[in-house]
Amino acid sequence: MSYNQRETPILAELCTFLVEDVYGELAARVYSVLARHGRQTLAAVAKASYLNSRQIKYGLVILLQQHLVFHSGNDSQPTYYEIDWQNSYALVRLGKVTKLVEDRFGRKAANVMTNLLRLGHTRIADLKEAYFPSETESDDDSDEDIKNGIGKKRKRGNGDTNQTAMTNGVTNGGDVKPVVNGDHAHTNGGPVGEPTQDDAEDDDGEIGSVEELYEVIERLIQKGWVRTMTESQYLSPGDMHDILQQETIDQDLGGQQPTGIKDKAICHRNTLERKRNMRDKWLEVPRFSRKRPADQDYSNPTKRMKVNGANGWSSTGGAAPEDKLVIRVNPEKIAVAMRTEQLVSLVEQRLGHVTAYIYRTMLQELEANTPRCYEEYPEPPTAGDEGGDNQIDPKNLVTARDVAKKINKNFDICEGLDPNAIVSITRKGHVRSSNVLSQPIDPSSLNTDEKTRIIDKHIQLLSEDPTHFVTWHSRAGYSQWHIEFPEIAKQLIQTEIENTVSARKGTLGVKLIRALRKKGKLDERATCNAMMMSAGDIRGIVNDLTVQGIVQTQEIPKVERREAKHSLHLIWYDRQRAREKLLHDTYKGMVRILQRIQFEREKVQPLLSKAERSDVVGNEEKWLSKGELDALRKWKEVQEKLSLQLFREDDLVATLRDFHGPLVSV
Amino acid sequence: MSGRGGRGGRGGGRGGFNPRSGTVTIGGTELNWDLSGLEIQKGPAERFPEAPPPQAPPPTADEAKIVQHFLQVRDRIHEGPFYTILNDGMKNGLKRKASEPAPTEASLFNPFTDNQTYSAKYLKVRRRLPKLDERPYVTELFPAELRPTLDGKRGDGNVSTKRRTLGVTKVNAVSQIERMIKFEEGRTNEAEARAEEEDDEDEDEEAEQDDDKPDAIDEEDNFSAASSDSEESDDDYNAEQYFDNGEDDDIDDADPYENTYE
Repeated sequence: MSYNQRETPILAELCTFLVEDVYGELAARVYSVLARHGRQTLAAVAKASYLNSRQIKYGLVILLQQHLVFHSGNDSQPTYYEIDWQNSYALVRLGKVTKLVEDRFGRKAANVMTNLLRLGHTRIADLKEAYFPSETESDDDSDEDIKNGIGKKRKRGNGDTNQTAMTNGVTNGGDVKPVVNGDHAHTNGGPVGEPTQDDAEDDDGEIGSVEELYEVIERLIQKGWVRTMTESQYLSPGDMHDILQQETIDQDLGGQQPTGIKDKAICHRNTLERKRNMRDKWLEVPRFSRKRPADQDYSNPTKRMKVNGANGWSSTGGAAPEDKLVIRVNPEKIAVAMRTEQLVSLVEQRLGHVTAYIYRTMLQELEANTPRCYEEYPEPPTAGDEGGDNQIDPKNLVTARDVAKKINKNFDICEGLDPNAIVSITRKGHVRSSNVLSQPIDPSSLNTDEKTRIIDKHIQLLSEDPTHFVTWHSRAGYSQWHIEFPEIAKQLIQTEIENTVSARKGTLGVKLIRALRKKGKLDERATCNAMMMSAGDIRGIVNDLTVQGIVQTQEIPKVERREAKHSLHLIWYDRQRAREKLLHDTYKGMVRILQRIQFEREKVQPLLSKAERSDVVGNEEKWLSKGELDALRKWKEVQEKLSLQLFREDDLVATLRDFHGPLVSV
Repeated sequence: MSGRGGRGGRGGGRGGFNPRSGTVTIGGTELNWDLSGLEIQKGPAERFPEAPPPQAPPPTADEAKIVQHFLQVRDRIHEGPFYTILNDGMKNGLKRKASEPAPTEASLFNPFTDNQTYSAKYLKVRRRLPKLDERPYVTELFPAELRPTLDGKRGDGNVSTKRRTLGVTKVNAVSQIERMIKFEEGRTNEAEARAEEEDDEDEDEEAEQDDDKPDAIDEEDNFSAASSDSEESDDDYNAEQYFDNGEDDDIDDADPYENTYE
């Protein structure tokens, strides 16, 4: 597989910590066995672990439901399990996904997304049932005034389903059932939060009707944030490769194992194609039976969801055919949106917020057509076909006119531009010879053509930046642009590496890296010449950067006996290796943060368990003293600060790992 | 030192005067001849100069929102049926080495916090096995060997016939700790508002009395309130704090040689 399937112990540790942080200890213990031992059967896991088989099965169910583990399916017995480290790592992005969806599609979609993240995959029908229980209870709605589960549990006293955990495995149905039967949408931890009056501003985020729910789901599927779930998605990359390669051999090579170079190339090529096809099939949008109202413009991501209550749709009585569909969050899309955010914030730093806004509009326009950041299974290049196919998919082009249509009317697009450029476009605002100033240009009164041209000026700013945020493509639609993501991603990676080096070794380190990058492999004398410095000044930096794994070394003997005196000692800089090293360091940093959070939590654990007590919840001001509340607040600050750092490091991981595939060395 | 430099840099040394530029070199730094008001570090450099660690910039609005969302989602999962705490003293799921003894009940027992008190009946009980029979599953997607587990079969083989529903939040929930703190903030705000009122209008004593009344009632049924008033420490049962660790002793502050012969 690709290089990022290569697993390091530190990554396994990080993923285990994340699983433990989010899904608790049992899941993490089972996960840690799989992370340590690799692909295993159930029996082998049981053998390697101290847990009993019942615990392991329960743990595996959690992990499978949340897509943290692959399984090899039922066709071949026994079933093998393997961790899905990419999805496990993605646990750190729970908050980001919600935020990104909220920015793009509004709070209702964010709410659906949160629930999908929490639930793993689910049938649409079950989701509908959870949102809108088919039996209407009249009495249970009255007392649900606290949205979090605990508050309710306290009220229900003996109905706390958590207490069943005390009597492990013993049926104490008498204790539980009244609650569960009383209002079924209301079992432990998954209460249906009814908004109260004080949440008046929150009802924006509440889904009002079944139609609305379907609409939100359909929209998310169309935009690629949610995809349908099939069993083949549970196959680990290795299993998938084996199955598809076998299929290729059976169908394209007549069942013969490929022997010659040509056969092997065909086999490789067709396997990759099958992988691409399979993956693309997952993203196919299923047909929804409900008619979409004509005025809905789905091509517009910035537009807010329209609430069209009951305009002639069939009532919820009949089961829709799409109810059988199983849906899950599409993990690949998250990186695409994160890339958008990072690029926009970079543009904002360099070119100002108006240009950044226009860039964001362009990127979000493209987002719908970009299922992933880079092609994981690229077509291998064929001999003699070099650079001939530079055709760009028209779906990946944006014109200034598109942007002009999308952006908000009241947005002052004239800001951040050279005034002369604006004046030459609008042909207003001259200082006349009579020294009378004309009225300033009102950005809201510009017509579409002028707007397009002003926006084009912004886009030109983007393209002239050294990072080349956009690239000119053709003149169609006033001006057509495309964005060379791979090139930008490479530059982002290089910038991050240089940032790190400059923080560790100062400007001289960066100078060395750049010199080596330009000149290739150098010995000491050549390095001195290239950097115009004396050997003594350079040596320390070279040593430090070599130890840190950012600069590589090579020793070439000149004589038969390998004497140090008679050898060439070369140093060079390899972007890919430096990138992997930095990524590794970042993972390590994230592990340390998670450990720190754990430690800080242990310090306040007695207080936290007191605050969670069922008599204290809801009566904090009565049972907790001022000092305890201060300590709680302090813990909250600590937790937020550390989490913030964790998410910032995750941004770095995204830059280094997710935006570009493996780089070819030197 | 400055007086020693002399015209023309005679005598060498460290303080050298450079007649061409009209400056004097002291301690390797070039300075103007007029040294009034200049303070020169004469002592050796501090061995461990204070180096505050670099601080991360405060969160932007977006980042704060992300953190908030994350904590919310995570807390919701923790309240859900899948979250477990084993508390069995193990670090990971791997088998113990033969040389390591199994953690015993006694070794896991914390004498300071684990003693059962009356209020232990209110403690939130953490499950040690997930509750799988609460929600529906898409059984076809699971391997055959795990499907019986999904049905929530108990040890005796009875299938629970409970109705299953997914737990969803219809609105974005508030994270747990937020909620705890909100109460306290509300309370302090109230108190502040009250204090302001008192400042503004002195004749509002009746209202103030009204305010006092609930507090008084509180004290009656809240047995711990009285004690927390009288003592500044609020955890009476924390044995670790029973003996002060000597931090507050007066001796520390006093001259250590006070009682010694000189």
